[in-house]
Amino acid sequence: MTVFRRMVLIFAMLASTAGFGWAQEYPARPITFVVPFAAGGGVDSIMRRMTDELQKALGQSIIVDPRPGANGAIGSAAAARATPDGYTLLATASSTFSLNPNLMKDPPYDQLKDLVPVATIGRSPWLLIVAADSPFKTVADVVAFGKANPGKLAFPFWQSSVLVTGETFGRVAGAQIRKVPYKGAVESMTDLLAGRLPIMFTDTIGARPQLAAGKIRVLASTVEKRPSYFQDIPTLKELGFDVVTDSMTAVFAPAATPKPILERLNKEFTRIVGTNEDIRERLREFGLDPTTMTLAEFDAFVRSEMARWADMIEKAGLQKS
Amino acid sequence: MLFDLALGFSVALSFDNLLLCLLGCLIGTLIGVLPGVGPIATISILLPFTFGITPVGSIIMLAGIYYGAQYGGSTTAILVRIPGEASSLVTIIDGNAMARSGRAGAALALAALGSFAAGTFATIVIGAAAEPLGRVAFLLGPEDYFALIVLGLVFAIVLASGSILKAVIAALIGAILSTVGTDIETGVQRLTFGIGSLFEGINVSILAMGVFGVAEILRNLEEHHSRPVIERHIGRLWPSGEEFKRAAAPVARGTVLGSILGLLPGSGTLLAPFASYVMEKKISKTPERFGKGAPEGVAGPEAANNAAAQTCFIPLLSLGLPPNAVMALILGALTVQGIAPGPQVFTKYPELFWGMVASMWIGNLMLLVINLPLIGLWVSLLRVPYRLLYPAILLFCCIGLFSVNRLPEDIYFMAMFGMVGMLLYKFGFEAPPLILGFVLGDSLESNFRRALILADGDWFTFVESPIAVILLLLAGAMLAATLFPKLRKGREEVLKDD
Repeated sequence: MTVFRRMVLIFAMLASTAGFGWAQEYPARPITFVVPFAAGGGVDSIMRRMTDELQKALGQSIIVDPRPGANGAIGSAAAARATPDGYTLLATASSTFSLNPNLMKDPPYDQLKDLVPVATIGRSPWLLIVAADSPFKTVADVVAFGKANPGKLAFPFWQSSVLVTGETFGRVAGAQIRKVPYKGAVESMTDLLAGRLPIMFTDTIGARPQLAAGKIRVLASTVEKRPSYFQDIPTLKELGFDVVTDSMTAVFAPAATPKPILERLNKEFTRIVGTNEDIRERLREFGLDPTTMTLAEFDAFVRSEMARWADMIEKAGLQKS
Repeated sequence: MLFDLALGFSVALSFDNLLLCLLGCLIGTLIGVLPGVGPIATISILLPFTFGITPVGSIIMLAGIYYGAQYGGSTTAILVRIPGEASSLVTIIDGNAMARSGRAGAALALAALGSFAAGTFATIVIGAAAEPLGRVAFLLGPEDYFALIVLGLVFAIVLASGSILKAVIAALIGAILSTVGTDIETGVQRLTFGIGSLFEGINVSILAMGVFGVAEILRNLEEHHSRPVIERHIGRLWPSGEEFKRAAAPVARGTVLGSILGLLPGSGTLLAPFASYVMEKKISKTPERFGKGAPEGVAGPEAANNAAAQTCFIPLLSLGLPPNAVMALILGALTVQGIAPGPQVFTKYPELFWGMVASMWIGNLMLLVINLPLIGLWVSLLRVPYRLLYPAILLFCCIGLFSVNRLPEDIYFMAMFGMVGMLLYKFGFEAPPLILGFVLGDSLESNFRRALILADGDWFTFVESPIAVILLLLAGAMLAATLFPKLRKGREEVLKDD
């Protein structure tokens, strides 16, 4: 054995014991979850809702740190560049890890090289809705009308993933649907209820008050499998339209974060999201179907989602900018 | 309704809810006074703490923060010419002018009393007619909003006290600044120059703190020979009888205007004070006093913004449609508590609805009690020497802005807009039209595009809706009256000479 090889071996042993010791001590100080969206937004609220349980599980304070800007790229980049010691993590949604890499010409971080997956929290679908007095009773009605009256169907959008959802639906259904830009879901909902828009894709939290008041009907959701809280609503996929555009809320860490730390965090998230009924109920209130994955599953998921969205985005005709 | 109100007061007057209401009002006043820190950030941070309290208690506190901030925001606007909240932008014009002429106390008192009167009226409106009024939002389509915003932009020109051409240019610059960011439809970057923090556009508080706050400090430093900007002599704290008389009708009109505009989604709450100011200036027999410390220009807009801050709860509660970001947060808070806002709120949760209505009135009373005795304290702040006051103001602006997004770029942009504001001042441009152009530019464009896309490119869509036609005609008439007053005045003077 050469001296060099021996040194490498010693270093490797030192590194592994150091890493192991670290994981046992971890966490020794408060953990910050950077959220790349505005305070009060979906991911921010979800993380604040989970803070108590995470603090109990990890024995340290949890800080939720909203860093909005550049459609999530600023906060993601800040987390990607943080010291990889497990004390700065990124809590985000599909828009930064599935959409941004395909929409930004020059993203300030590399999703696959600068970040590693930690844990998933839940998936939230888009819901295809119509006003309660709409003649459309099923997705088939919508498609039939769209085919018979080209250009008469229109859907509102206010962010890339709604746009891609609507465009993909139009493409796979073979119906020409116009896209109408809106500032947000509320303005869109107002025009849907007032009869100015025939259909709309919205999230659960936006749909719930109108659903409770009997003002809208949900025709379908854009998730792979029916979520637990929407057992009676068909998915577009099972109706024969391959539109799966739900958003995953999930946690990432800077790329070089030690594996034991990632495993510890994944274990805690999996336990809380998978078994804590109180948290699961809170997530459902936010329209999230609680979802857990192992590190390997989540890594494979991120890669396949990026490729899937790249395809949908390209076919929807969106350009990188 | 009397029975309902009695129920409401019985809920709102419970010890816990009174305490929560007071807490909300105090927090609101504080963040209102501090520039940069707004109700959106505050409420989102406090949201998790409301899970443990009752639904009615949490909405009482969150609402208190929101309308409390409207009270607090005017204090900063009047005293140091920086909008504490975006809604107090207009108060700067005459409120600060009053302060400069030694009437700071009177301006603060008028703002507080006007807000209280408006708050009382808006409370009654919510209690009496929340359900039918909520439907107003459905009446207006994109073409109507487009017309409403065109009317709003005409306000920008009427707002100006100097050159009309320069006011138009300032409003256009504001509208162009509002286009900065990622275009929602195509994803194209507009005027961002590759700067990441511009991808989501410019935040109104950064622009306003720059062109008002920083620019104001620069201006005063430059003109240090005429330094006593804020009079050492503070004057009587209480408004004079003359000032009360001038303020009474504008408060009434501002309240009605604000109550209506508050119902509209989007920029309604921001537009209300501008609209009130323009209306007062237009119907005044002595419009030349505006901008020089007219009490009408403080009382009207303050009443309007407070009324709007309360009636904007109507679309949230009666339709489940939050008209602005703060209401969206409150919707989130209610959702967590298992309450879905919507028409069923009135019948299903009467104690929640009426408790909130009653607490709003109690909260307004508390704010009056908090604010009036504080006026003396606020005004005495003006005695702080400028060498201490200016760095302190700048520091507060920086801390306030930084605390929202924690982006150093935000501070740089505020500084840059300060220089822009200084340049504008040097060339005789005014800041209010620029800000109004900025606030409205975004909705102008999106409603214009939306209306045309929905009408399949048919331009006649803008004249097919009667509401749009009325609003556009009103805008045209106002513009004509503003563009040609010289003719009219000239003729009047000629007639006088005869």
